[in-house]
Amino acid sequence: MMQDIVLHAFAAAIQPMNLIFIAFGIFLGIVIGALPGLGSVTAMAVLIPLTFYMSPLTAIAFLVGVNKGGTSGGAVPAILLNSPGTPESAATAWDGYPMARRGEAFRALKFALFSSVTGDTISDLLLIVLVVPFAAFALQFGPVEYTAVLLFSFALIAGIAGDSPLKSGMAIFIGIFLATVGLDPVSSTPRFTFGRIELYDGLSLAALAIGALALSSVVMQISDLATRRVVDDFAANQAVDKQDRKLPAREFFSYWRTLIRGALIGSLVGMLPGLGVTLASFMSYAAARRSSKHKEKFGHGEPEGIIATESANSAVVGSNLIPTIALGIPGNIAAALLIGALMMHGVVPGPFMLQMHGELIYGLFASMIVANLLHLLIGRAGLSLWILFARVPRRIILPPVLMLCIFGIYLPSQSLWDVGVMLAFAGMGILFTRVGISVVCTVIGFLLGEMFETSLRQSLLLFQVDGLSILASPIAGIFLLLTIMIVARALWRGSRKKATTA
Amino acid sequence: MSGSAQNLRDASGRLDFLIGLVAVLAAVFAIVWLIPTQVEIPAVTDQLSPRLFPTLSAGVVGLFGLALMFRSRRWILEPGGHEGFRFFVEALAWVAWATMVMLLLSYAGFVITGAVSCFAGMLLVGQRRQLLWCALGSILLPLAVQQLAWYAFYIQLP
Repeated sequence: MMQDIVLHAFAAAIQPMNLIFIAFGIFLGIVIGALPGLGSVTAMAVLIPLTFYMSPLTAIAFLVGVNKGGTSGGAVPAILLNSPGTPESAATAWDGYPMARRGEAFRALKFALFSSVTGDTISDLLLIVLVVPFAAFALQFGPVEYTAVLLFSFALIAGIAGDSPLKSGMAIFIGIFLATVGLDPVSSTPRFTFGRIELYDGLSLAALAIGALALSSVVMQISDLATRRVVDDFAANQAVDKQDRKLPAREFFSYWRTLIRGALIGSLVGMLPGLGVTLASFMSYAAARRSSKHKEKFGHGEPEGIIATESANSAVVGSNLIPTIALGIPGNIAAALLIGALMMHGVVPGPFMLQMHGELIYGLFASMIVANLLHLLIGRAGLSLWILFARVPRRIILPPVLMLCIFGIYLPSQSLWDVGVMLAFAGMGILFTRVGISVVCTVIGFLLGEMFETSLRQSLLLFQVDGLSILASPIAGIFLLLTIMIVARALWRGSRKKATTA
Repeated sequence: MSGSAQNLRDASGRLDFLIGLVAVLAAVFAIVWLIPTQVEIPAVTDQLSPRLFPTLSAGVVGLFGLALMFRSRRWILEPGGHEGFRFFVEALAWVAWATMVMLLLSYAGFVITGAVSCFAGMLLVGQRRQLLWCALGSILLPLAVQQLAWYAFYIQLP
């Protein structure tokens, strides 16, 4: 019986029309994801109307292809320009760009693509096997557990980003403060809107992230080149010899522990609604660095950093469908768009979806596996094209990025306000980066700020009703204990360092 | 520790103290003036105040700032300068550039803004050869992007 379902699912997945649209989706996703400011979410939002004329399976498989391509495409500007187009690629830039600078751009892109596809495949397999039991586990996460997980993540990220946990912690809470701009999530009271209607929805995440991460990095590179602080040797450094561009399978799979760890972290974070891709990539990076024998190489072009980040952020794509399919709860914006597309085709996501539309769901699972294979082929062919950009001198390739960022921000919102916000946060990004404050932490704080506020306020209300109820959660207890351990370790290391300096 | 490394450490310690001071002042400003004037308290509510979370986050920023000042206190009186002023000037230069971009976008449109910023950026970075080709590319690229936005997404860029 199960064999029949699987065979039917793969038969539906390899229909020529299905394959063509999956491939087209991946191609569009990679191209759009590689443009600073345009991520997979924008690509999906723009392309959903196209799916109206497709069969439900082809439509959803096409959108999943766009999402997969878009997530891995974000690594291209992060590696080649040190200009992550999306927050989740920020950690890829930490090791990808230094690798590219020393002439290994092609190998860095290969590491990113292969890790992305491997992480994605592992998460898809987990999705197929564990969709029902994992959904039950996700249901155990209430506000107290979310607060504890977020506090743990903040402590972990503050420890790995920037040159000081104190400055990184400060940056995270600046981001959280910025997330309070707009209407209060409970009482809808305007906060810091200064009477401007544009601020009622809060600051745009895309504008803030692109400005602070991508644009600020490009502006600083332009400034460094203009003032002769660095030499424009990026293109000249690139390996011409084919031998130097190779990445043997043995070398890639020698990092199998990091790959599997990243995929598992991505899958676990992805199945919890709201936590998202960015958190997964940073948690995986932190875990890889902690367990590495040569921690000091991280941030200086260590392939393990790219593998950890890319395997985790791509693993979220598959596992995000666990709450979407099993509970009808979208794990992130991309999953919410998928729910919209499913409903457009008469399929209502939720607990009965597997029973009522089992053929479609298993067809989708099979399409996702096929999509990974196509992703590998299309992505690999695309590397030869992307590497051409690495050969163009920085003084030619960097200035147009400002224009692309304006285009990327203006396109979804059609608002010059958001362009202004992006330019303003680019200024903040420049200042923060120069003085050693991690701007990535600010973006992460902003990204998770609203969720943190909502879950903390709900936890405090629970505490008012029953003070002991928050102590009854073993999941929250474990994460709070881990948070305390991380903070205590940072304090101990800080005092030891001070004693050594003295 | 060598002399230059010690100087670097001193400069970075002083900069950290300054960052901490700015963070503390900003947090005090937010808690004392910004939050009370910009977040109203609803007349009737049995929920937590909408001011609670901004105050809490600003307070934590202030605490981190204080901790940073405390950690860097021994470098306040050390002689020598840091690069804080240069960073500030760089950020100011960006503000001027960004203001020009916004004005151009509002009054001249995307194509002219894109072309001017591209070409000016190339000149600034030190491109001195094949300027004609660079100028042509700077004009054609925003034009192509504008056409793409219109024909692919039906969106008119400013």
